[in-house]
Amino acid sequence: MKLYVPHDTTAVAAGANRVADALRKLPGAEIVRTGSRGAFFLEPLVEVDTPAGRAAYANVQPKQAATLLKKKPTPIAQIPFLAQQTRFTFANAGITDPLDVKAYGFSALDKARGMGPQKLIDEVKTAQLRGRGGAAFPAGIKWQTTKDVQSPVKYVVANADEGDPGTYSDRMIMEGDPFRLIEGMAICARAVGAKKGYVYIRSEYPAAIRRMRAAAVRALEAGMLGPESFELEIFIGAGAYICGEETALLESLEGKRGMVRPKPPFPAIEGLYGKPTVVNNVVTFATVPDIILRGGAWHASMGTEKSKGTMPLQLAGCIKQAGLVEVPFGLTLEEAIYAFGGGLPKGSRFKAVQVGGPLGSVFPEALLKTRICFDEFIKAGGILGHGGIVVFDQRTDMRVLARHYMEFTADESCGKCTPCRVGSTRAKEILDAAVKGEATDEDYALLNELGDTMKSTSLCALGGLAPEPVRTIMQYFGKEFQKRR
Amino acid sequence: MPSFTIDGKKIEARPGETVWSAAHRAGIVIPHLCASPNLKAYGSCRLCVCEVEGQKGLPASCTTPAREGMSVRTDSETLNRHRRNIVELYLSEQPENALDASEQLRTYAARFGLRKVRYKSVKRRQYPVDASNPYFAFDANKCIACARCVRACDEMQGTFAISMEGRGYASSVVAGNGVGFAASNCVSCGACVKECPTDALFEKAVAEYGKPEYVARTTCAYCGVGCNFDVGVRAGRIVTMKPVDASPVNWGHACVKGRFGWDYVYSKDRLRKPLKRVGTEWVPIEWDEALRMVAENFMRIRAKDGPDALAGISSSRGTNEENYLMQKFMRCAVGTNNIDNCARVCHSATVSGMMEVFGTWAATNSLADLEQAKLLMLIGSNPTEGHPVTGARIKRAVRKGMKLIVIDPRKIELTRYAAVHLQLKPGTNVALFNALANAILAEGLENKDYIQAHTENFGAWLEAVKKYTPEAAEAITGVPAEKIRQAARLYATSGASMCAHGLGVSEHKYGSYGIMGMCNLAILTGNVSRPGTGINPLRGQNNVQGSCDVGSMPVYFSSYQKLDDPAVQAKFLNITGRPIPARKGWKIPEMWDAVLEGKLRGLWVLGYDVAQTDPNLHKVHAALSKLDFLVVSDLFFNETCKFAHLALPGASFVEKDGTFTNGERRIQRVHKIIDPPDGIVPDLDQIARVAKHMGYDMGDIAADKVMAEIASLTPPMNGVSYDRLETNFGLQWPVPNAASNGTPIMHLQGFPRGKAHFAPVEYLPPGEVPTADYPFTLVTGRVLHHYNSGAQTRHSKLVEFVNQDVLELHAEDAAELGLRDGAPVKITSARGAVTLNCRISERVPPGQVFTTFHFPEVEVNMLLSSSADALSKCPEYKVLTVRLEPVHATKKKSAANGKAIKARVIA
Amino acid sequence: MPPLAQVLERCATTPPNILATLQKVQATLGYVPHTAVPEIAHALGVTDSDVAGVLSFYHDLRTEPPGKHTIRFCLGESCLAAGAEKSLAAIEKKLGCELGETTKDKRFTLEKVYCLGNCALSPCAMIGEDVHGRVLPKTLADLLKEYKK
Ligand SMILES: Nc1nc2c(c(=O)[nH]1)N[C@H]1C(S)=C(S)[C@@H](COP(=O)(O)OP(=O)(O)OC[C@H]3O[C@@H](n4cnc5c(=O)[nH]c(N)nc54)[C@H](O)[C@@H]3O)O[C@H]1N2
Ligand SMILES: Nc1nc2c(c(=O)[nH]1)N[C@H]1C(S)=C(S)[C@@H](COP(=O)(O)OP(=O)(O)OC[C@H]3O[C@@H](n4cnc5c(=O)[nH]c(N)nc54)[C@H](O)[C@@H]3O)O[C@H]1N2
Ligand SMILES: Cc1cc2nc3c(=O)[nH]c(=O)nc-3n(C[C@H](O)[C@H](O)[C@H](O)COP(=O)(O)O)c2cc1C
Ligand code: SF4
Ligand code: SF4
Ligand code: SF4
Ligand code: SF4
Ligand code: SF4
Ligand code: FES
Ligand code: FES
Ligand SMILES: [Mo]
Repeated sequence: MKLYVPHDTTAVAAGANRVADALRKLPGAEIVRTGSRGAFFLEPLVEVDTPAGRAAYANVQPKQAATLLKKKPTPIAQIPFLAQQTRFTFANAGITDPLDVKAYGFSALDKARGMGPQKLIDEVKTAQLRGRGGAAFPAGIKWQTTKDVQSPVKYVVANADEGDPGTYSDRMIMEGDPFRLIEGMAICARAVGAKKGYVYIRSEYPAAIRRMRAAAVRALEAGMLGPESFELEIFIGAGAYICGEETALLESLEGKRGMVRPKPPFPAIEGLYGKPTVVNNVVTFATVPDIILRGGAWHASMGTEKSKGTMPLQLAGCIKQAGLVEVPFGLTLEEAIYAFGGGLPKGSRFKAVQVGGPLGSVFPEALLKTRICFDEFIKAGGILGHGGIVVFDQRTDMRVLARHYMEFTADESCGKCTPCRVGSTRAKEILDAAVKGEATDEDYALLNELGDTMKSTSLCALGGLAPEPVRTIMQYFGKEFQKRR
Repeated sequence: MPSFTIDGKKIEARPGETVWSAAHRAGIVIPHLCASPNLKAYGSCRLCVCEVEGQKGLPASCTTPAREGMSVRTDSETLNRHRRNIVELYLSEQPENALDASEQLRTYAARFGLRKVRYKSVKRRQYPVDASNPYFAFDANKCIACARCVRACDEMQGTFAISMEGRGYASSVVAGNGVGFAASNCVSCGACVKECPTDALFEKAVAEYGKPEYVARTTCAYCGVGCNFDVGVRAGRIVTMKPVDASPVNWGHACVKGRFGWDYVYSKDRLRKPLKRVGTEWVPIEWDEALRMVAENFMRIRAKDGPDALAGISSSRGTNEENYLMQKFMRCAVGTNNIDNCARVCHSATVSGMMEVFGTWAATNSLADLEQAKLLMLIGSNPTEGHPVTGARIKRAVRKGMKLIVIDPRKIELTRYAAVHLQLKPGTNVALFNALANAILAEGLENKDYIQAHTENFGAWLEAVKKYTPEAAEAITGVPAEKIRQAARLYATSGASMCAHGLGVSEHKYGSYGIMGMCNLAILTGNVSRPGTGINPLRGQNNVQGSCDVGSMPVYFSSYQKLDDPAVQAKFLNITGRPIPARKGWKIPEMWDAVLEGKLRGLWVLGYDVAQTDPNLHKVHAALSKLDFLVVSDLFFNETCKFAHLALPGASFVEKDGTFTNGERRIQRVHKIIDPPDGIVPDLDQIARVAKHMGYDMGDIAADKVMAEIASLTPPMNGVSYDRLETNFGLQWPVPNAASNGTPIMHLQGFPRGKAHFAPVEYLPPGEVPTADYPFTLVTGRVLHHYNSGAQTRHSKLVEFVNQDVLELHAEDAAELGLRDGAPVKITSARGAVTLNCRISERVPPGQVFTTFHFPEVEVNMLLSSSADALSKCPEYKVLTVRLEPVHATKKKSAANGKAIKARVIA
Repeated sequence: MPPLAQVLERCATTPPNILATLQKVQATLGYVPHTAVPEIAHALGVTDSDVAGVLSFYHDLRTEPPGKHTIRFCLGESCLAAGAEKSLAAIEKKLGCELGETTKDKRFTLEKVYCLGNCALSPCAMIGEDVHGRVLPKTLADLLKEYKK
């Protein structure tokens, strides 16, 4: 009897290992460790095969193990959180053994091997795939640029730095379906003419690092990677948010200080060691195999006018049903929070939501009707970023939150450009005063002006967007800042 | 060539150039702090933001490439508001007292209308000032983290001594492992200090004496690179010397000696008054009495023993004009050809070797050719210490893709950049060059068309190199045959291979042969007469090229014109009013023999410390002691002065007008910037006044007049005049006429001797080979911080870096001898013994040791013999054999300053 | 061979990778002592300042020995929204040390981190390589007990 127990970081934090150990003692039980489906509020989620497909036991505790199978499992299709999703990129997460090469199959790579490089790129262009790392740049155009540069050496780099607090989709791919990332990268390498690739993973993800390393070895053994075709190396970050920015990431990958490079030249033309380099987010790469298998047009048939395909939303913060939701672009923020997230837990009332990580804006209730798509968010004065959605309740002191954002920026600024290097510290000092109730109107005017200069003149988007959460907090929750000691 | 507009003005950009840089070249200065014309764009300060028509946002102009047709605005209310806010941020982290903030920041604050820093309760930085370097200091509290210093150290100097450290608001500059500048691997080139836009890195002299009121241009007086400097003066005192950005010689770069080591000019130890020997005392006398004394003694000796009993040794540290006048004095006022200069002991073998193959006597190409060369073969030269600006340029070229072959018995710093290092045994160049030729021929990589069209004697030469197979050479040189083949292939096939060489080729018993062997390689592969190729001696002293060019030589007149050529004689007579003396003169080593034989009785030595730097000092000292009359003109009371009857103070390079000719034949102006101290009579006037006392009137000896005379007598300099030298960083001879702009690359139209001549040369062993008694080979050379006799550098703060000569030896040898790092060791040769402290070093292989000759406390040259190259009389400084013994003496504590020595050994 | 030399032997690559080397040194020694910088630089063929610059850039790299267990307490937005500050105050009190410090008994080093990707179970902390969710003041004692040894 096969029992599927997730091995994902969050599932394990919820006790999945202890559950697995307990279940292993059941006679005839064969434990298969999988990734997670992302319905974390249900973890540990133990699944079994039934004639009608998978069925699950939610929130299993080790002490329930002995009698677990006596209970009736809930068919997955009857878990609304999961049933309402459109799963492609995360189709395997939580279902298969992430390191089972055979089960994975690499059929997209097989197909890609029969296609010319330009055909591959055309397919990605047709798909209108936009990068999921934050900037939403069209992947096909980036690939084309790198392909068109004459160079004997090119690189493909997966950005697995996933630094935005409140996000975990990259982690889930790496822990739950690592071959999908590898396959996407290998297809890209073939398309642009690269033979070497790196996955740059943040050090805060030890499980993902282990899983990716093991997956790379298995893919090599299975002939999916190799010195002739595409070699893959796993590189570990060392605690620097800025190394999620692609040029800082490349500096770091070269072993240097993670300082942002000015652009141009863009990495697609002069990247790692000065060679043409495609840098894409993990989810971007993980979306490619399906595009190759099903065709770009299939991908382009989903989503909104300019945001095609699906987006993995990551619900977090003060929310009842935290977890990952893969849906086509286009649903509203409200639907995400309430239809999927189940709203706020008992005793909490909605106050604010922040989308897109520490560089994204903070929205009040009035903006919950905003559609989830890159362009709608820009219109609403925010960014969708990497799809993190963090909900705050009435207990949140917005001044403290605003200060937190500037403290984060001050902590994580690479220090290259002045508006961010000095500005983030000065802004934080003003917000320190605000928290103490000591800031004056002149201070706020100065903060506003400083934010404008940071936004207009910073070298990269850390300094450029860091003022946004603060600006939106002050715009929507300005009253709280008038409290004086 | 994209053309675009800035604030309505049309600008032409070079391909790939940024908006800022194109504007800068066109003289439009966009506000900036982090950008520099010398460095790659970085994009830190954001003051250079601009508006581009049809484009969103405010890109930084220093990182934005210029595009055809773009329209850029650099001045608008929005831009200036942001700039004001940025300057406000800068000031908020500067020292609290606004006036302590960097001047540049205060200027920008005023320009953008910033009246007051609005930030309260700011956390200011409280770093200690790093004043460890003798010449400059770092105040991190004023640092704006623009990394110009770091980039200068990386991109200009290539030393990577400093880095940015920390991140965000805590970003700062770290030297070495946080040990401060002095203890790091910093070579004090000053590039970082020059680039620093705030006063975070500042020169101590400027801090002490104030910022310069004006600047004046001049040429460095240390080495043959000939760097151009802007000398900053305040209240009649030099406070700084800054390298000139536009200079083709040093492109805004410098080394520690030129940049900072001019402080000897203000040394209290300088000779200020003529000193006359009275018994064992030195008595100051008046100038007129002193110069009369020279004339009287010279006339006395000439009356008794004839003019050939007198000789002059002129200074390759002095100007062309001084050298010309000194030889004119000897030839016309005294009547002898006994005039020589320090080139004798330096690159004289280069001259005799190149004469044989090409018929010329100087570098064929220019330093700027390093940018075109695909490969550099560096032979017996240690430029990161001897010619540091060229050394930095080589590193830069390697970073941009030039390949490097190093041929040197030591692991010099540049071996780290080399594709191949041929670590040969000292004194075996000829065998190696012949084997390189042999390997090139064996693989058919010679340039047959070139050989056919431009050379002669190929057949005879082929015979000579036949037996020098790489294997045969391996047995002689110790270099693996395969490495020889590898180097041969690289040199022959790069497309543009340049040779640069130093004393490791010339200062040998068969130095001239070595040069010829090297020149043969160039003509074999056609690597001459083209950009990025050629044979390029890295000439030593600032004017060692020029002192020969203008005729301070015993067997030639200027530009190597023959003394017995009737046309030359007629020309000479016509201009000077005196005939060229008939008898050929003595070369310096011959002079010592002549003194000891009683034939030479009177000598004038100008700016050359023969008593310390010539080889076989026992003999030199004996000769000096035997002279009837010795007069020495020098800046300092040097070792030679100790033998003199009269010592005359000289004027230093900032105290007189003239010209120096650098190692790429570039004649450059030296300007009088300050008055010499205490009424010192400049060397030109000393010579002319003595001549007058001897009845020869030299007429108007203003420097420009002297140059006019040189030009008229010297065919390759016919077109040279002071007004032409003032602009465009001088002229590279040949300058045959006033229409010529000089000659950066020689032999484009063939060779003066017709065709290049393949010179067959055989390998012969050096003067001494190791024996059981003298098992070690001693190589002598130099270090970065000191210069030759050290007369100048020892009287500057440079002694804070290095304060003694040390013996570098390999760890295995040290272990065998029971020597610990820093321990004193006695070095004995067949001529004598000296004691030095030892330094265990990775630079020398076992069996070989190295030292320098900069400190008279130990007269290293006592160890040397008189062995010299037969053709040129260039001494064999580079090979002698010695015995080493630990000294167990405890009497005197060694003067070893661990830190200072540590900084100089790099491997 | 001393441990540092052993690690460095494996780290000499072309081109050299300073960060990867420092990570390996830290994995072996637990931290990167300042005094090791020259040896590291020499082994890699880079300069001391190159190494010092990288060493001071990354939060992970430390120049002092850490406690036996490193607690990386999350102060990301999701955890903040879930009351991380209260948990942090409790943990600081319990350990008797503040963020960035090591307990007197050298058992724990407390550091902050921005997100562990475990936001669904905020507030979170990572101890060693174990990620823990729902780190609340009341469950703290039990959690730390696991690491008492
Ligand atoms: N800092 C500083 N700079 C100087 C000077 C100074 O004293 N100090 N002096 C100036 C003067 S006058 C001169 S001439 C130049 C000299 O500058 P360089 O020509 O660089 O002189 P050295 O350092 O004496 O010797 C150069 C190299 O020759 C190598 N060598 C020794 N024997 C052999 C050999 O048999 N074959 C080969 N291939 N190499 C060998 C030595 O190991 C050494 O590295 O420097 C000038 N610049
Ligand atoms: N063992 C060993 N010995 C060597 C060498 C070696 O490699 N090994 N190298 C040899 C070489 S290449 C050289 S070039 C010689 C150099 O040897 P020297 O020429 O003796 O040395 P320098 O220190 O260059 O300068 C000599 C004198 O010129 C003075 N001087 C400088 N400028 C002026 C000026 O403007 N006016 C006047 N009047 N005097 C001035 C200085 O004070 C100094 O006393 O050493 C040689 N000796
Ligand atoms: C401060 C900053 C942090 C970033 N962090 C990440 C990150 O953690 N992961 C990521 O994929 N992209 C991140 N990015 C975006 C990358 O620079 C880059 O645009 C992206 O990796 C490209 O991949 P994509 O086109 O597939 O999104 C960050 C950008 C900035 C400015
Ligand atoms: S904005 Fe901040 S992180 Fe980005 S380059 Fe500037 S200092 Fe670095
Ligand atoms: S930082 Fe900006 S303003 Fe300053 S030079 Fe660079 S691009 Fe120009
Ligand atoms: S003085 Fe020269 S070597 Fe020293 S840190 Fe500055 S640039 Fe680097
Ligand atoms: S020391 Fe000067 S040049 Fe270096 S980073 Fe600081 S301000 Fe810039
Ligand atoms: S390289 Fe030579 S000419 Fe240039 S500054 Fe240094 S000593 Fe002077
Ligand atoms: S000058 Fe362009 S950013 Fe500093
Ligand atoms: S914000 Fe704390 S784990 Fe993501
Ligand atoms: Mo010399």
